[in-house]
Amino acid sequence: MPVKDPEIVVIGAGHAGCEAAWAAANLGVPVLLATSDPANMAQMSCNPSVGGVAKGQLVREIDALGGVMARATDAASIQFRMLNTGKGPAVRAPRSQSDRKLYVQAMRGLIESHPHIRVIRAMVSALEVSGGRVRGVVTSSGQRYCARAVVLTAGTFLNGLIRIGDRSFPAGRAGDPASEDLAVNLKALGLPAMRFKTGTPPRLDGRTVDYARLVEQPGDDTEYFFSFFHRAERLPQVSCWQTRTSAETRRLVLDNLKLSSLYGGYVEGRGPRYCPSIEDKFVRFPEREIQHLFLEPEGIDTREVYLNGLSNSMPHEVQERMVHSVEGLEQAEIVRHGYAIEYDCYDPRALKPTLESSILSGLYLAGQVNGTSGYEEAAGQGLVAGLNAARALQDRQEVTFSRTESYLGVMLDDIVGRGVDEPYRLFSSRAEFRLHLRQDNADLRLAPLAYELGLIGPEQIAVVEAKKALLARCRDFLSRTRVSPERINPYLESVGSASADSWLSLEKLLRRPEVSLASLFGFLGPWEFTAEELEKILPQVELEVKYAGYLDRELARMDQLRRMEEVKIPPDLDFSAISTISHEGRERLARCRPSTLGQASRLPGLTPGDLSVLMVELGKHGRKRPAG
Amino acid sequence: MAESRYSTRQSGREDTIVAVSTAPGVGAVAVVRVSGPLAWEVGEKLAADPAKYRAIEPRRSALMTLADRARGHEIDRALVVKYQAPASFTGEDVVEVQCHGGLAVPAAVAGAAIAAGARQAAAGEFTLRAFLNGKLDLAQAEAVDDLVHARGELDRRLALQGLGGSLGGLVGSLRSLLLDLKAELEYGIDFPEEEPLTGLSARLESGLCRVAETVEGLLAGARRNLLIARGVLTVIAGEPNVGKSTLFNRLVGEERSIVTGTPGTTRDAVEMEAMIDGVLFRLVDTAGLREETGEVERIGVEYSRRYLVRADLVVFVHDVTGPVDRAEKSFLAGRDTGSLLRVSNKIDLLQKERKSPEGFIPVSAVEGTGLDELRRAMVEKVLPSAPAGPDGDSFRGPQVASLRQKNLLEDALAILRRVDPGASAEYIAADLQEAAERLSEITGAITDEQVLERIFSRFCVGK
Ligand SMILES: Cc1cc2nc3c(=O)[nH]c(=O)nc-3n(C[C@H](O)[C@H](O)[C@H](O)COP(=O)(O)OP(=O)(O)OC[C@H]3O[C@@H](n4cnc5c(N)ncnc54)[C@H](O)[C@@H]3O)c2cc1C
Ligand SMILES: Nc1nc2c(ncn2[C@@H]2O[C@H](COP(=O)(O)OP(=O)(O)O)[C@@H](O)[C@H]2O)c(=O)[nH]1
Repeated sequence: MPVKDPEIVVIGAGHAGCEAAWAAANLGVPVLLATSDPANMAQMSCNPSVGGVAKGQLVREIDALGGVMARATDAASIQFRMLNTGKGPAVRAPRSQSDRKLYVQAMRGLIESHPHIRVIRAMVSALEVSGGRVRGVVTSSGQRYCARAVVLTAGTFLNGLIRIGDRSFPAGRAGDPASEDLAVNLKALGLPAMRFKTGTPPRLDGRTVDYARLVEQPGDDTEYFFSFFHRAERLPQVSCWQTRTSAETRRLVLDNLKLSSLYGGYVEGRGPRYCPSIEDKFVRFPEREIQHLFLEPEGIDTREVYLNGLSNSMPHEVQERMVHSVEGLEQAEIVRHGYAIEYDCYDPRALKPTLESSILSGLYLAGQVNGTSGYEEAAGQGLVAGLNAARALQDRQEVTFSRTESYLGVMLDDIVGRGVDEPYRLFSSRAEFRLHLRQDNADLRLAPLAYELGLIGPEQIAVVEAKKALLARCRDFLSRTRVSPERINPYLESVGSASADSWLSLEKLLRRPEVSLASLFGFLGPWEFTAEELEKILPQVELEVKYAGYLDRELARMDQLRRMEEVKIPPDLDFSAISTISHEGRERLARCRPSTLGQASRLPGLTPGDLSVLMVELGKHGRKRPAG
Repeated sequence: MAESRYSTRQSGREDTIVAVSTAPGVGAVAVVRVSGPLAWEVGEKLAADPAKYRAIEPRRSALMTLADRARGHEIDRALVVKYQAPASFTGEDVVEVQCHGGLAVPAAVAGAAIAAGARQAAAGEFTLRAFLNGKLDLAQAEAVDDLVHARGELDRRLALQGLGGSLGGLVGSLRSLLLDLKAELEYGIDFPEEEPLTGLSARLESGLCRVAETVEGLLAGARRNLLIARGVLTVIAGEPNVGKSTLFNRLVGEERSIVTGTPGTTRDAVEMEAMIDGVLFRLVDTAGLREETGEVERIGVEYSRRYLVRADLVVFVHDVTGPVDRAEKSFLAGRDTGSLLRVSNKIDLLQKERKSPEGFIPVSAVEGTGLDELRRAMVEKVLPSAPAGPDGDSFRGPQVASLRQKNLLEDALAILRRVDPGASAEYIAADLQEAAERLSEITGAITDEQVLERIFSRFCVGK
């Protein structure tokens, strides 16, 4: 079915753009997805992997909200690992090594088959604006497209500038043209531009690697799906490989620092500290003479290998010598060299929590353009932007996400509420309610909302309801079922737990640190539950029983925060006029313009006294009692 | 926000908070407020007579005895008012206790409330709750109160800083240590593919130990500070005729006689003040009681019930010419020796070769011998770490200046004690965070992305 006049134009089919288009189209809004090269749809510009701590949780949330990322990940997964298995369920996180080509293929298949999405190959060069509202876009060939909303997801492309040694040239990423006209246009429209940078390591020809001298890192045996609702066919699984830098590598880097764009004084943009270049690592951490490197295959039928850990912006010939100084890579050939890239992005504090620009209405921004980094972060924002753009057109209420219910909410609140001063990435430590924000319960947390919004259908919500019921049944079973000392003592002895002298409920038993649900059911027989059922819910049941105290404390704090989030701060409130707030506090408030009391409470530099005064001030502005 | 889902707010998970709502140390009456879903239950646990407490109607005040039931002693007689949500100043269930002013009684009431399940309120928390529940005028008043409080606390902090070091500095460094440890845990959580840190559990153990010990030290000082501010309640105990009244007169100074003593909060006994080496002692003699009851056998029981449990210091007097064991048992059962002094009186009657028993300070109240030793011992009990020198030595170092600070430290300590070093890192991290937040409340610092800052500056992360 051909898409008629688009209502929404999405600029750029990266990770953010695909989710934005998908979410809007799922709400029945016709979307035009304009991208410079559809063959590069959802291209992974950097490492060929999805997930990881916090990011993995986010992908699950995107899936629970009907997004596409998990499905593409499952379809392209050539190695799976669950991280943090030695820790509790809250911080366990799935990570997948993706076949780069298959990922693009899977995403493209999904996007292009959506009846409400039309993909065109075009470079957008300007927005059409009148009366403070965006009205459409113009492409580099002069074609105009009208739209009632535009979602900007141009990634690292805006004024993108690749740097290798002392050389630099405009590009969106290696092999793709930069988007310069649009960047000029956006600045002229008053978007507050910032300059960030990132970098990528060289790719090697796998045939020239001496694998015998590397350490193999196989994936997990278990089959895992990022998607709660869809089942992809499992691809052949591959291993990653580990090696390390030598004294020679270090010497090469330090001796040639002047030649690197980063240390030669060429780069202006701010880079992410959590993703340092090898130059950074050797300079900033002189005590660590050796750095681990990981070879990640880029796909099943490609020989290209991603050299994780050697991100740099050295001239090509230095890069080659660096690679050859690494054990097992003495003969390795570089297929593509590493580079640094600088790009424009825009201060996310100029966004509403819906990701609509507060400067230009109808314009939504998502992904790298908001100063974040990472595929998952981009995808999450894309979903929020697409969803809200569509709902605005349908005259429906906006949807925002709270820190209390998702990593998505944490990210949005962090960037919109506080701004970013380096490319922003999610970490589990950013989520103060992370015991609740788990990969295993993303569906329970978000699918009901998704269903209500129309992002998922009845079959999907039925799956979630069934899981919920199963959980409840299991909890009930544990509290209801009591066992006699004679029955249970041999088990307790076997796990080194004190013996029982009266009948005890399974729940009570499970509270003991030595008792695990798996071993307990193993001993007693699973009774009413099938192994498959148990697998789905075991970790969370155990968590809920064993760490109830922690969960309750988190819940109490969540409640308070939620209530503070309900208190909106009028967008026209003049903070500078509230003289009883400390000078620093006023400045902070004016700069970040928190939209809720909760956001204000998280601003550094604001004292409890300032907050009290702010509340009184809000009261004067005719705040009504929050509903409920 | 959209959709019905958001309007069905879960509620009732808010915890219950307590705070002394009048500036501590001043005024004859103090108000202690408890607010939150468990406020009424907490109030009930404070009441010596729960049935009487339950019978109070909301908004009606009743005079009743408050007790620390966990420790089994009375605190005070106080006016208690219950307010029912939403008709209260925070919009939650509230119990308001009007008790004797000063530091000790409000501290004891708040302490008992905490033991009964409440938590020390954070700065501005009453205002916040009032505000969130649409109690604007009250929130406004409360906000002003917060500011006054903050100023009062600052004054006291400054005053004490003159004496010792800065509490903020020390607490800040403890908090920093906790966040350092948390950063190490978070590094392990957020970067599982990096090199794991070695020796973390040892660092964790020693770090937690250090923080806990320092907090304990501060708390020990806190007790003393609060004592000094209000005077040390010192009960002179012992069997009849051992010479208690004589000793009492000696200690308060000859010119004061029992007859002119004002019956104090202890009502049935005589209370007089004596300043010894700059420390105020509120000496209690029980002569009045003896005369009124005339029941010699019951005196021991009366003592323990009414006075001994409340005393900061007990001076147990024994007649050196009589036996010791029986008397000591009946009076002093269960009392910790940290707040007990034993005195052998009437040593003037002693034959040369006989000595006063071990651990007893020999005095003669009649002749005045040994009184200097007794006075010195009394001061040392209060200032155990360093006997007060002429320059106020014992106040060297940071001081806890307020009940709020003390309660926050106690909260933090309780959290640190619950840390299970064997638990998965995220749970330990949660406890460290919570403890650090409690400490932040003392310093007024606001936690930010400090943990990530620490990770990035200390560890080489990112493959
Ligand atoms: C060299 C490099 C290294 C990186 N390293 C890391 C890293 O180490 N860690 C990490 O987490 N992330 C890294 N990233 C970032 C990661 O690739 C991005 O965070 C992620 O791809 C952002 O997704 P996005 O959807 O916002 O943008 P992108 O994936 O960049 O997609 C943007 C899309 O917009 C299209 N487009 C741009 N301008 C126009 C226009 N005017 N008209 C039409 N289409 C347009 C492009 O063709 C592209 O398809 C790196 C990126 C690069 C380029
Ligand atoms: N010889 C002697 N008699 C004392 C001393 N102290 C008290 N007495 C006497 O002991 C009797 C009881 O004293 P009192 O102070 O009333 O004892 P209380 O009942 O313990 O308060 C009085 O006759 C005192 O004079 C003392 O140090 N030496």
